[in-house]
Amino acid sequence: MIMAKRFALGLKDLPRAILLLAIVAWVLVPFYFLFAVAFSPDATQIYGISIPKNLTLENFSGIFSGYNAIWHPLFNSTIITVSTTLLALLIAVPAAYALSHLRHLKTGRGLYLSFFVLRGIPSVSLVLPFFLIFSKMHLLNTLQGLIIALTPLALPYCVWILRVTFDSIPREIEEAASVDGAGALQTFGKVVLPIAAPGIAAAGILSALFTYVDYMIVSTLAGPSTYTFPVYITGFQEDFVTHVGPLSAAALIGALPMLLLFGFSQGFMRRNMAAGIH
Amino acid sequence: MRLKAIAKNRKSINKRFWLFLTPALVAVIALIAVPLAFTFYYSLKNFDLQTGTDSFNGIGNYVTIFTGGDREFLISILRTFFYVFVVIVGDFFFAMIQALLIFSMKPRWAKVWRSVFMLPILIIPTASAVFWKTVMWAPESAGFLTSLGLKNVIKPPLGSPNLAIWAIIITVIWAWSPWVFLLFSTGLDSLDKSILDASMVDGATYFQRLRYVIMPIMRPVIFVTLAFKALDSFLSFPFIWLITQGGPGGSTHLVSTYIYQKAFQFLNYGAGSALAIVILLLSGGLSLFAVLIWQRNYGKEL
Repeated sequence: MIMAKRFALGLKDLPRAILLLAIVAWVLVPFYFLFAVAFSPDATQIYGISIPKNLTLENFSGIFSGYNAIWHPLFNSTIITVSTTLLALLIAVPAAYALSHLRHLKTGRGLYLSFFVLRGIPSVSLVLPFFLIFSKMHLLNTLQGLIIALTPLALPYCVWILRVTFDSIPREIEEAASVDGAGALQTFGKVVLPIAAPGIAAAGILSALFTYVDYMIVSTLAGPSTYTFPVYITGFQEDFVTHVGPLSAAALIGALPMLLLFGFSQGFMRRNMAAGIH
Repeated sequence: MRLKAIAKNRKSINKRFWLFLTPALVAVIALIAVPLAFTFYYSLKNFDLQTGTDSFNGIGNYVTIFTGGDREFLISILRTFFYVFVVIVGDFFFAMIQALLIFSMKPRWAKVWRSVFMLPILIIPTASAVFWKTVMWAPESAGFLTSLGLKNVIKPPLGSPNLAIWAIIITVIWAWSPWVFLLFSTGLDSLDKSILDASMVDGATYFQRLRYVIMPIMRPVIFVTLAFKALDSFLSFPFIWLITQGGPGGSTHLVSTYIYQKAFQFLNYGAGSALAIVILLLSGGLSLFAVLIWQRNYGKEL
């Protein structure tokens, strides 16, 4: 009791404090090793949990300069993630709006459910034909090709989240706009879209997350000049030796875009993703 | 007369919405339906870049699969179901305990610990896969086993056909369960507190409340979260591919990695496409099944 108070965790009893400690250890122990390896000159010197003796930044400076630097993959990732997300939203926003209005029809509901089933399409059964088609159309190892191939993955997510968003907008608002003489496109663009903006942003962030971390499609259809960051990072592992120091440093750097996409928008995402679940 | 006019108006409004759907339908046809049609077409061929064959084979590839000519594949399907089951059960208990712990805290502390529990998702999956493989499970540092004091008790798991799949499962739960936790925690936060207070007044113990009050209300959230998660795990690729490539001795192949290897490493596109079509039907069927269960039990749309 006293211990729980001293920890001031708001926990009622000791078992819960122990449980919390166990979970925190499980989450953080790998992070200890990640940091220890990233900041040590020689990873083989690390045995168990202790503060490493020689801390260094050379793993970081190594990945920021030279032939195998981090910049190009980060640039590719940015271009691909942003373009794919915008393309997916451009397609999904009108579709979700229409599906929201057609939900009283059987075909409308059926189409919506089919978007849900589209989510179950295995990447492997899409990447196979994409590879063969792209090799004929000279789209392998191009950014355009990757954007085209990643869009069908992001699309179902966007439609799913966005329809819930459009469902939550009262129809009276739209009717009022059309009574005031606004046309269909005007109502959609000037009345509905601004209200739906937070939901659209949530869908965009989620689809950006899934696009950014994709591995199978990018590693198959890209070449060294178009590798994205998640594929670049696997390159530190070679047949007989793995450069764990630079790998860990790169993993920590790669956490920053995730923090940017997800960490700062956590509360916002929780509110808007919850809308998708209920 | 008026009713007819309204009906006609309705129809024209509906027509307008079909227009809004056009880009999506074009995208689905061009980016999903056409590629899948190609997959199906290749699946009917004997198309192998390694031997240089490219001939029509009819349903030969499918006959091979269903008559057990590709035993490894059938085993990998069973292994995938096993993997999905273990990951789902692990995720559920782990994430639910985390979410309930957070739920019992004061908001200020809940915020802090929630951020800590979410940390693993900041490490992108390919990075965690390679990191766990080369640091946490590697024989040299054996980070994970050493920190548990098991370094000399358990052999490095990735070299062992029996243990490798468990090492992958532990890695996956560490890396991906925060998503499940996030959705559970969000669900708990939206619980109606007055119901909980009422059960407190009634003198229910913590576990009674959990079983009879919290779990029934949480059921829809749990169902959707785990259904998504199960589908994703069924098609799980990067962790297995980067940690073991299906080895040692094919003991960790899941369906996705098996098909990928067949097509892109052994360059047997024909057989690979046939396997991809089988998995497409299986996974599409499973997601349709999940949707139907949902509609039947909760009577509403997703």
